[in-house]
Amino acid sequence: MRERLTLELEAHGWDVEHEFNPGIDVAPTIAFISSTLELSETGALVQLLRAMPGGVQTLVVVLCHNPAAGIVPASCGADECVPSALGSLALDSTLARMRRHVAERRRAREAEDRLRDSEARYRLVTETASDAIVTIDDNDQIIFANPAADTMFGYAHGELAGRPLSDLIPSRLQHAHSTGSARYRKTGARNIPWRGVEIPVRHRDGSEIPVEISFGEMVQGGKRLFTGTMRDVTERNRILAEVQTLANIPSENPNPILRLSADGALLYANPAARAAMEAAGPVETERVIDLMRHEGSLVLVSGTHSSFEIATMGRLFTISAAPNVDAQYVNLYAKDVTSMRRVEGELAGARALEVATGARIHDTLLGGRIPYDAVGVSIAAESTSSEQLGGDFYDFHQHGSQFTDVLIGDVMGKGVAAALLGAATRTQFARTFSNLMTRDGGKVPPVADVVTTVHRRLTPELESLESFATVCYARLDLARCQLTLVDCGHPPILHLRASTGTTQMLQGTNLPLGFDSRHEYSAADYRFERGDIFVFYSDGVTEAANEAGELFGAARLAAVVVEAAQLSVDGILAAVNDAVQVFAGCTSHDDRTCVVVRVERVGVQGRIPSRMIRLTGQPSQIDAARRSIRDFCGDLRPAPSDEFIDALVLAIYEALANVVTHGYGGHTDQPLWIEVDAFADAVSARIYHAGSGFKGPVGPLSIPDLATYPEHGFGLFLMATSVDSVRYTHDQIGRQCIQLIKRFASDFASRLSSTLPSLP
Amino acid sequence: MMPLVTEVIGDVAVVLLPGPTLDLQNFNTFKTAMLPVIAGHKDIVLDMRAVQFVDSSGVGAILSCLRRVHERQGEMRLCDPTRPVRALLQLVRIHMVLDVCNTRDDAIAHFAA
Repeated sequence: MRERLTLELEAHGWDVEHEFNPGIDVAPTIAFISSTLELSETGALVQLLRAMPGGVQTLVVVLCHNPAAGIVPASCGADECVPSALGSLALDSTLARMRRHVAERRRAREAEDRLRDSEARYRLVTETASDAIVTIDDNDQIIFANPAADTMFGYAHGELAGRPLSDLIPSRLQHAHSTGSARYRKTGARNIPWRGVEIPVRHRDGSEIPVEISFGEMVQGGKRLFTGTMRDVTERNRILAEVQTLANIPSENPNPILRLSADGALLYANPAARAAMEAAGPVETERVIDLMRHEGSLVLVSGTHSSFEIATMGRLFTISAAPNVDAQYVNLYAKDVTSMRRVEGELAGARALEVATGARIHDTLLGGRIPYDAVGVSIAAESTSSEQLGGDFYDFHQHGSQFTDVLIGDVMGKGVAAALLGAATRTQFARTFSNLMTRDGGKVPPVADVVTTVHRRLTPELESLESFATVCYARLDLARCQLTLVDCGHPPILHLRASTGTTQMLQGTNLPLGFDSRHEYSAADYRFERGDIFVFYSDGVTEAANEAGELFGAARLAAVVVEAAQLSVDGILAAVNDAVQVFAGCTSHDDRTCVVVRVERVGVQGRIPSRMIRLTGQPSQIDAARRSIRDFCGDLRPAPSDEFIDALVLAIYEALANVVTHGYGGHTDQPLWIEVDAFADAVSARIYHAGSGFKGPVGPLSIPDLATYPEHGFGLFLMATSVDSVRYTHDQIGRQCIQLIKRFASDFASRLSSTLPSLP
Repeated sequence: MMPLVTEVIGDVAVVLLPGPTLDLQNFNTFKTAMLPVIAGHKDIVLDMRAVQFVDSSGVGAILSCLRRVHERQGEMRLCDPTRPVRALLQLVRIHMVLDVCNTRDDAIAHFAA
């Protein structure tokens, strides 16, 4: 957890103090405090930190080891309190929040900088300058760096400001710098010239860059500021050094050296050059020298060194041209780079092979095939692999014309290991699916069972590799118009409703695979209609960041999908990919997987319309369920009579009342499930509950004797007389069930039976 | 359930049930609200036009009121039931103990006779 946060924050160029230690005397940029301590002690630590120099600015993160404690940041003066053992979902949202935090602070600091800097024109000039310009304050803090400086030192735009100058100084020169600058501040004595001096500076990756630097000093707002203007002289130095080496004693130099006059006459050739010319013969020699004349005349005009390549006699030479403008000649130093180029080429080839292998793994093992027999849905899927191979995977399972299963997941980590683990997870899903199908006698296994079994099988492997996988497994049931989702810490699914044009994020609460081997996975059901669109994606889509560190986010994704909703699924997929690409530029390093599914047709021929309602015994929910069942029956074609619907609704209501009273002892907050299925000859309603089982009387029910003014005893009678059959059963997972069957009148049934199967 | 609206026409108290349901959720409220009406009038008509759904508890509550009315030697009638309510009343054969009239006027007229 902390490591991941640290990595995240370091990726933003922040100094991360890994563990706050009250012994230090300057506050860190970010401090992590473990709250194994009492809340009051944690608070005291935070206060101590705040009181230190710079402590007010510190981003304080308290890691709570007991998530149940639910510490509120304000209660201890921290900026953030995060559980130290977070699920990946919560982890991701916390990281996103931290990123916002960091970005906000950065913006605030930039705003301050802007306030201080009243010279807008100065800014304009520096922003567009090709030289790197860095301004520091009296404490050696960088308060301004232009974009060229950010680029030169390897930082994202805006990242340099706020960092200490020491970040830009090679560590071996740090001491010299601090003594030098301290002396200058004290005595005004400069120990290096302030104009055109060449010094090495430190790139973010630790390498050194030679720069030519000029210093300036100014006083603004009573503060002394120093500005350095730097030019990268790497290339200039390289040519100069080359010329230097080659020019040493030309006659002994094994490389060819030539001198050409301004009008192209060959003034000098060293022994190596003469040998080469002899070997090449007069025609080839003339051709090569002609090329040199052309380049030579150019450098004489410009007066600067340059370098070019010539291929001759099956070899490749780099020619450095050094003009002497006063004497009007050019020295040409050739160097045979044939074998160097060959090695470079081989290296590039090896690298290309590695990338190609990665791409092959990615394409063949991680991406599923869109089922050719998918009926009623259209699907587009694409996984874009980053330079580093990642663990994104997806797959599809098609079962007849009723069910389409979509699997999308992401294994933590990068590289071949993550990719292979992703492939293994994908394969395990396919294998488990067929295992369970065999076990269940060819019936399509429930999605929650599949995920729970995969999880049990994979957890030991994932644990031993210290990895986990976020997964989203969803089944579209075209007969019931229902999407059943088991979400295991994966980013949510975007659901675009065709009827309203609105979007909704579908997300479950299950843990990622590999977290807790005893975890039982639960599914949630969502209704859909014809034309609805589902977008499954990996976090590479929503967490693609632009240069400012802003994330693409779910809202942008939703906007793109709404905008592109009229296109084909391929068009929608392309629109999403384009939008992310445009937003993030080339800064996105994550894998990106996106699957778009559109429901083209519902109500599979010969399948049963069905509706599933989850509720509690709360009056408002029972009312809503009553309306929902009414709508369901009213939507059947041809629609049953009002009397039929009245009677069915009454029976279901009485059953619910009985469950609440007898099954749940009058508690109205307990879960209930109603499943209504329409057949050709009847409607079946099953009322499930998790309370104690009870049975109504067996045999015909008699009506209570009204002459005694009975106030009770009508419920079972009404239920039994409103429908044709009442059965008390229970299901495989232990839920009690009351099944009500109401048959259509025979003439009505015959009209329905052409489209629906009969009640089994 | 909204408060009952009672209108006295001649000697008959006509009670308009506010609806839209008379069921497990409100049958007790209904029974309590009926007590003063029953105490003040012998003959009562329950106007059912606004009630879309009655369940077994609702039937029990109506019978409970009927018992109290009969104890006071009065009479109670129902009028103007909606389709689903009429179906339910038929199912429990409520006509064996009280009259179900089509309109409010019919119900009042029956008392006069």
